[in-house]
Amino acid sequence: MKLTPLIATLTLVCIGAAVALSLVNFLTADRIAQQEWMATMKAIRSVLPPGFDNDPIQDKRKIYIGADSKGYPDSLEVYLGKEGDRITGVAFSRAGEGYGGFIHVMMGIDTEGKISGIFILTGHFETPGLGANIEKPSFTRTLQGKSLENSKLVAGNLAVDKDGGDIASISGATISPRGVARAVSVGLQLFKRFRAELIGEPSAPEGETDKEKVSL
Amino acid sequence: MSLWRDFNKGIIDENPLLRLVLGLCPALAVTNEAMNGLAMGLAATAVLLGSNVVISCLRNLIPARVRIPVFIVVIASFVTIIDMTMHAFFLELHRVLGLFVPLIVVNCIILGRAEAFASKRPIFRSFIDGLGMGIGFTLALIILGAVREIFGYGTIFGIGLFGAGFEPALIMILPPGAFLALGLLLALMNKLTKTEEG
Repeated sequence: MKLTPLIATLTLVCIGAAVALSLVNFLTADRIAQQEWMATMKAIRSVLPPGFDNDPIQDKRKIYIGADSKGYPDSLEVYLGKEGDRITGVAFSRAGEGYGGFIHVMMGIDTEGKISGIFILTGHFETPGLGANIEKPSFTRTLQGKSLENSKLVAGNLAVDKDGGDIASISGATISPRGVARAVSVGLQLFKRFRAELIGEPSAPEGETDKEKVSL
Repeated sequence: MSLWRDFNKGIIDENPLLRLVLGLCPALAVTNEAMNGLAMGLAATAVLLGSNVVISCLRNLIPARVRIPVFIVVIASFVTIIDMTMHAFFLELHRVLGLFVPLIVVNCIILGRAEAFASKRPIFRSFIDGLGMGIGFTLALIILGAVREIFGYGTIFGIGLFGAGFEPALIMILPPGAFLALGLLLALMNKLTKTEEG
């Protein structure tokens, strides 16, 4: 049979490809992680209410917010914006389901429970040119100042205009803004529920052990 | 055929997008702005150069019966390499092109050049062919992106062209606009190159 050369060729080509890919992965993995983390840090700073004079990346808290869908304890990493000793706002990320999977939204909330800014984090799979326009300031700015109190709620949640809410959707794309609205809505509800833990005085000093990521 | 011919056929006579009408998925999907067209074109060109060279190197070693799987493995590897490199060094661009970079794997232009050209020609000519085809594809994407951006946003490469009174034609940046613009470009291309065929 002449099968052996075929198998040998394919095997060798695949080994070659695997070697090349692991090499490139080895060379880029650290830089990718660093770039992503820097983008996240930038996002945190951009969504907090302006005027903070601390380093929100250092001033973070981790709070437990109950169990997730599988019953594991679910926690929230919260970055605090402070002016002097006074907390002016918090930033954390939540996800909502979009057109091509989950959209992770970094959101800033001021002490009155109003959105001070949102930033769509990388790694979503919304259609470029359509749903992906949720990244653009022309969309993200429309959520500024929204709160559970001053918005038109649909079944207790913020919603896009096509669902009867008051978040402007994007022409040609409704599902992506809906995902963002969902994430922001969940975020605002979490803020309301855990307000005391989030912006009150910390009961015990913590967060000191979480510095390994910060030393970039 | 001279080297020059290997190079320039990809730009006009056999332009992958406007003549062969290959690679429509990225061409229609990401060209709502000229910049995205440029980036997509460059990413595809990089993959095309790499795959053409490697496939040309291997052309006498690959048994004909498994050539397509081998081509696909080579192409997919280059796409992943380009994807990781862009992720590491051009994060913003990677954000914009997102899903369409991995989809270069199924771009017919690349497999087409591997099958039609690189698997039968020496390395340097395959490289030149990839370069010509890549530039032709990139130019076509930039033109398509520019047409859509000018009408759909009133800008070119993000620079405003008209005053505040300009009413953008939203349809041009939505999927129907891609088909409209591509159809008109194809018609124009046929008109311009008609004379030789009579």
